[in-house]
Amino acid sequence: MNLSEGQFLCKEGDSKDALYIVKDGLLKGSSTHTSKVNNYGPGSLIGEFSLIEGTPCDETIQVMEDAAIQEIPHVALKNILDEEPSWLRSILTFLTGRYHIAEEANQKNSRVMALPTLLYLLKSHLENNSNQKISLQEIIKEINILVNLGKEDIQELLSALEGLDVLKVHGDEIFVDSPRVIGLLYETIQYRATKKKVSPNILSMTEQMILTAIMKAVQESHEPLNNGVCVVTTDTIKATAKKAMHGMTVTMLTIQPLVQRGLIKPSIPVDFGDPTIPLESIGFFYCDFEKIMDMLELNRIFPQLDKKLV
Amino acid sequence: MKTVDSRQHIIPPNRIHVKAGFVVYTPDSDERSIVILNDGELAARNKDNHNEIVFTMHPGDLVGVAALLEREPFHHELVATKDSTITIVNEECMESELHRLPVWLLAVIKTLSAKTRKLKYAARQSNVQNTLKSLAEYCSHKPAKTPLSLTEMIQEYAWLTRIPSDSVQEDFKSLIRRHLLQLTKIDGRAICKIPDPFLLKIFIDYLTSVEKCETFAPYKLTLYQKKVLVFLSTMDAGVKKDGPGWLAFIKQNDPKADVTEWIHLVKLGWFKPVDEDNFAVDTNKVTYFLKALRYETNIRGVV
Repeated sequence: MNLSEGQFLCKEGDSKDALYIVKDGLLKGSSTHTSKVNNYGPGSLIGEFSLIEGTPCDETIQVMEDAAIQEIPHVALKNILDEEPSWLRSILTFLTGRYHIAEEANQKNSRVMALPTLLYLLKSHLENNSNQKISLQEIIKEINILVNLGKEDIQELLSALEGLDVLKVHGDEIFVDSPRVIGLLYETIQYRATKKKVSPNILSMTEQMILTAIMKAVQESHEPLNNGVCVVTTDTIKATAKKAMHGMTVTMLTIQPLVQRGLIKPSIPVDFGDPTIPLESIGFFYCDFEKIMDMLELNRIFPQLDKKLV
Repeated sequence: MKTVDSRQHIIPPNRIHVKAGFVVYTPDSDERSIVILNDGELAARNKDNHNEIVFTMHPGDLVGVAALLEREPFHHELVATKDSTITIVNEECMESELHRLPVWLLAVIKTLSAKTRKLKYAARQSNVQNTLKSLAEYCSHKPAKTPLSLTEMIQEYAWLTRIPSDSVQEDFKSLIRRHLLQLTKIDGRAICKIPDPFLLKIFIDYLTSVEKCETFAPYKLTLYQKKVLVFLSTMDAGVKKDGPGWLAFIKQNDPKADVTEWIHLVKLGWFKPVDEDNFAVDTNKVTYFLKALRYETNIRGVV
């Protein structure tokens, strides 16, 4: 068949179970799912999947330069497959299946790879914006420029983060409850990727339990914070941990990593290398309450990220 | 079209019956073939650890297509876990069969393989099409006039985008040449400063216009419009007037101004509606146009 410039061969979503071979001319394929445009010149095939699987056209194909096209209807394929050994059909099914698997893996991979970019942009917007609201359209545009990720993939990425309560998307705006967690997440992922080891922000279960005990103790005490800093006695930490954390015993050894990370500070200088010093010798610990909340939030989200995205 | 002669050249596939435990394929073998399970059960296992079953094949399943068509190695050992009937399509058999197919079907097979290969390759590559624009976007989110380590920026950007670092370095040079980034050395370390992130945003829009083969809006302004722009830049953002009011105001400076010009200025975004009838000067937009004009040589890269 011959088509003139401007005519459409097919529109996205059309049911056409045929293959088209471009003999001459030029056609352009575009889809609502991606900004990428495909050009089809002489020798190009259009509609392999429609021919084999009967799936609707995945692109709108428009003629850019007058074109001569050969149409191979599905029945031609059917006739050949009926005559040929059955394994030929299996090979075609295998090849299309393998393509779809690679396509899906590629999409997932693009989303996973774009997560740090999304966090980078959110972090940057939140640093320059005190009301914790970011324009969705702006983020979509910026990610697209930075890593060329499509709108649908960005929205999937955002809904994965929404599922983890990292942010909320309302209409055209993204709301972030805890901007510092976005920064911590970005930092942690970057550390893992560049240093090839676990970030110091990732805490062990015991460390998380102690911090949770401290947080509970502060909340139960109803004592006002002093410039965001809270003070908790060693006895209270031990008692809260025992009560709330399934009889957990806090010792010098278990509390040491938190002190070394600077998350909590003892009231007196302590030599953790000396095993004879009892924990009780430290009267109290003080810490930045919000920092502890953020660290616990980070440690809640981080292990779930891979599962949510992959 | 098939002929009697072409049929004579067909090498039929090998259909065999194997007992449970028979090793159908081993990765050490040089022979490539498609194995189709007709009946029974096969398992693909780790050749070094026979207890590690990678997947199990059921009647109708096949393996080895990629090995045969694309020379992709098949790493697992294939063993019959039950008495089975299998069909083996080796290279000669496949070749003889493919020769008989119409060219378009061969092209379909080839395209499917090529597209999959391309996708697999793309997964390891950057998706970024305009790397300079992407780098400008990255830099526009850094704080203004703050010393930043160039090495760390290159590392971070290359990690975010998967663009090879030599290409990233070239794009950094391009931005530095345009004075959109400043490079200094402190204690032997290359330090980068971003004089004005807003300029980078303008540069991104300029590159977008270039991509679309359009003239960048600020560079399409007439001399008269440029004069109005400078005049508007001196105005307070709080001043509100309706359309005719603004037109009359502009006419004070240029009696030739008419409604068409007013509509054009609104389209350029220099005025924003503030309530039902009134407009105010959009100072952000005016600043955007002014900066684009002031730094035209930097943006165009003809510094």
